[in-house]
Amino acid sequence: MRASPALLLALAAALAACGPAKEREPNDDFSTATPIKPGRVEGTLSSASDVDFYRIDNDEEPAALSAHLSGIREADFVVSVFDKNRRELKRYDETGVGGDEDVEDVGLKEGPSYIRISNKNPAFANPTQKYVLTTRLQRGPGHETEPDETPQTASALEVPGVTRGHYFPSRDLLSQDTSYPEVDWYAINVPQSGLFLLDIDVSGVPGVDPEFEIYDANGYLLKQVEGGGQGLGVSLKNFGVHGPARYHLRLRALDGASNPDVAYEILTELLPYDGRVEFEPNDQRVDATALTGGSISGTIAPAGDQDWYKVSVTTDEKQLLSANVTGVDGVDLVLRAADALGDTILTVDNAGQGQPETLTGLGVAKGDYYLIVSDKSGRLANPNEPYVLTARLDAWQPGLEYELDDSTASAQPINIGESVDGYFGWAGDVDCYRFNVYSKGTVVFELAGVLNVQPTATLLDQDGRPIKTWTADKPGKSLLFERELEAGTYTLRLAAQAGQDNVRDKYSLRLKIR
Amino acid sequence: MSSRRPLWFCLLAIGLLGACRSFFRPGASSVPADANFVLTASDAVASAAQDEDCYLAVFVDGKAAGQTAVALKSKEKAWGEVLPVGNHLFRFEEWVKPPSGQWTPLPADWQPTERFIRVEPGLRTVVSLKFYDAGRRHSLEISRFPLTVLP
Repeated sequence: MRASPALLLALAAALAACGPAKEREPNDDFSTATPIKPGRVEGTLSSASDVDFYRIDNDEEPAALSAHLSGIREADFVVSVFDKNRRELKRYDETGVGGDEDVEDVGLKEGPSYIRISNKNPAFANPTQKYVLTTRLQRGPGHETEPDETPQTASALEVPGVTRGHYFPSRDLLSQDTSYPEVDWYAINVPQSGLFLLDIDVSGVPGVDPEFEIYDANGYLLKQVEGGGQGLGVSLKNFGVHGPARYHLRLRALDGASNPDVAYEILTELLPYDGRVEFEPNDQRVDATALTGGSISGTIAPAGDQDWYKVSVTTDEKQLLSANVTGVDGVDLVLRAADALGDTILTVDNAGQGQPETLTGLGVAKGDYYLIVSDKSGRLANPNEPYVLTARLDAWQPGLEYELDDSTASAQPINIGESVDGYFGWAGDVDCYRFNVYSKGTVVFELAGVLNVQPTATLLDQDGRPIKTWTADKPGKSLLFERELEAGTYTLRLAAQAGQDNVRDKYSLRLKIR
Repeated sequence: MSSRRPLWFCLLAIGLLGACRSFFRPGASSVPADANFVLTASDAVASAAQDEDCYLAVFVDGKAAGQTAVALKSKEKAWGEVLPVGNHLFRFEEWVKPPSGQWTPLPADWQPTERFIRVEPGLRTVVSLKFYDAGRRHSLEISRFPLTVLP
């Protein structure tokens, strides 16, 4: 049976429709733009100054436009995207003559938008080779929407959720700044009331070393987070949010790197704050996280991070503050204690990388104190490997050391016939005890030894001048000596040899009259 | 009789007034010019609300020896005496009076503990006692000057 001519004509028309759409000249301005749908369209440039406009209609927000323009011989393409008001949203010129150009993540409003293809090579003379423009529209939330170079035009960040974008283009060609910095701003909106912790993880992208910053609603920089290097992601854990709140995140690639092929993913998680982890930012005294539950976890991130925790003493009686921070692999932690004004009282840095640090028995009184955890190696800790800081307050009792007692001016009083237990709590720790001799006699001094410490005891007269020094034979050994003394006030200064400490075992010092 | 008071009456009245002030203000004290021991004391206060009246009681060798004048904590208060040369046992005790309260000593845990201080011939021993952190801590410095030089 022979096919009818009508059927053949219909088949031919159908076949013609299956191929890519075609440019319809003239399409040299907005009003004559070739209407296209997402997909492929072919076109040509008739001359070096030819410009081709395409119109794409969007019926849903939010929507993000991506496109790929195949290169043709002698053409140095420049691709621009315009909104319905013919305002240029974004311009792409990443390659040279013959190169492809890409468009990524341009946010489209409802209605028409325009793509303009032009050439900037004056020597172009290739009117017959076709280029192919492939467009794609991604609808719904969870996508970057360029332009987002300012907080005012920031893309919406899904909280909680995943938002995808690109470190692309490498330069913002519409920027007033002649360095054309390309950054991506995201708006973080937390409408719920209460305290929350926000975790932000940005996935790694090949060739890109990322960095992001968090700003508050007034534009003040709260946190700066650097990644670990090219191809690696960047994370921020436990960022404290007082909801309802708005923040901005600024994400950029260091050194102007770009990658149109691999999207970054920003994964956010919002959790109610339960007081068991640090509440970032807590990088200074006024933002210190309250330490109320005895222990709290935190992370050293970014590199150089300092975490401040506030310990409040509410009783009038003398208290002893002790603390311990667990070690973190690859990080050399330092534990500092500071007073209510943030001035350092003492620093504990006894151990090296990956090791814990312990603060033994700091004498405190009613008021606020701060414990500061930091890293001195300058490294970025694994944000998924937190430290745990534990602090406790115990009532001081006579017979316990009450730091700081590291000088004759702050020497702890002790009576002859009594004993005191203390620690050589950190390398360089010096403990001074002051006692009175009411009538001439021989005073016997007994210092029980502790592991790893070779103690030295120096007896000072009433004016602080050394009378005599005794040193144990070796680490762990006790000291026993005596001295005849006139009536007066004396100070006994105890110290370990350089680099020695023992935060686990207390020494015991006893004075008696023979 | 003349309406004008005689001079002796005025002098008596002035003297009585001075004595009354001494009676109602615990321990008005001054530092004798020839004192070979001087105590000066003051507090660092965080606010005007904490700047209450206070004085320091002085005990020498177990006996009450005197006290400074009453003044606000932040003001320097002084007590001085001519003491025998030698090593004496001193104890200083701070008393504080809030605006609407009674005179109260600092808690025992916060008072300076007794200690020996030497009084030397030809020299004035000056003890400077400073309280801070709401009286919970203090520093004590001992200086000596020739008796001819005022500290």
